[in-house]
Amino acid sequence: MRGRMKFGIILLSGPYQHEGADTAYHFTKAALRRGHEMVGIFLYTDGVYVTNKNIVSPGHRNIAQMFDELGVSTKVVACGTCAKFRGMKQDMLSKNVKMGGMGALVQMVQDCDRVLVFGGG
Amino acid sequence: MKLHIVSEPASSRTDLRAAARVAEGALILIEDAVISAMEGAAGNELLAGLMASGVKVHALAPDLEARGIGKERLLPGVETVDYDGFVELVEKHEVVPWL
Amino acid sequence: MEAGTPSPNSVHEPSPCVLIIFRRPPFGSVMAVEGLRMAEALLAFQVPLKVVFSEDGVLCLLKGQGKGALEMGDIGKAFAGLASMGLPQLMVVKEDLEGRKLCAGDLVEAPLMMINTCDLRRLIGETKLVIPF
Repeated sequence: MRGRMKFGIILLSGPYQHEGADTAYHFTKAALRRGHEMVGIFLYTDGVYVTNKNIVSPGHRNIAQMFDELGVSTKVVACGTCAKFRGMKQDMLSKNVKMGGMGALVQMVQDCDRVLVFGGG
Repeated sequence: MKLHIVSEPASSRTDLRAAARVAEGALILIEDAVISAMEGAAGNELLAGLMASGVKVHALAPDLEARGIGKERLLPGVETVDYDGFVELVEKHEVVPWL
Repeated sequence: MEAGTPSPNSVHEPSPCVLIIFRRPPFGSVMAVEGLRMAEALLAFQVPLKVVFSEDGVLCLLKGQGKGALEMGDIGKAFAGLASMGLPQLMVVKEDLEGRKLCAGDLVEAPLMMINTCDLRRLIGETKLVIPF
């Protein structure tokens, strides 16, 4: 395995609609297991929906909780403009997720060895 | 040499064709794109062409398992990896996501 | 736009840090609009950036968009505006344009550079971060 690397993820799809959110979650867990630094996950376009703390998923995985869990070991940032356009307010976000602007995305792009993009649909 | 990441199948999207136009190094099929690795599926020719030109083709095992696709159904030469293996590929290659 | 296809990476230019590839037509999905927004942000923060339009993405640059009931605006003009933010040219994959029976004259007034798939392969190979939209 290579030395500790810096990874970032941009997520473009919302919860359940597309598998991108699940791939982003499992990739992040594996990267952390392998000792890498997950610099951040930037939730862009519909990706902001994964952080809606009001998600209720009886009998199924709860994607908001999954990303809230990731927020403990990496910066999970929801694009503020994308959130606004989708009616997602600050008080709807899971505890360990923050709103951010494009500056946060640019910082991630500049800091990371690798930036993956998941979702799209 | 890059790792090209394709997440949609050749039967419904042009991502695999677009990747095949330029790919060198390695390619991984994830999410629904894993079905393109089944023998007889749309995209087989593109994958065979990539492998013949030296590109290593992988499919993400959890996505195959979730879809009930056994390894015996895959095009010969396609290697399966788990998420740790996916990360290992990303360690070795800069990535080109095709969305 | 000049005739011929000068190399997209002259020996005097540093290799770009980010390459955004626009692959989709505008408006049916949010991808073109959001990719533009990302390009604007990267340019505003002076991150070295190159932009390519390939496959259906070449349609983002068509002249005369924005008419009719949809009120989506003219994204072609917005892409042309990236020049004023420091993007020296918009690269277009020539075979994808011609494959749609289009030519440079059908596209917005902007510093365009026609490239081929070999150029695209080389650009992808040389760029650290490649982000499709």
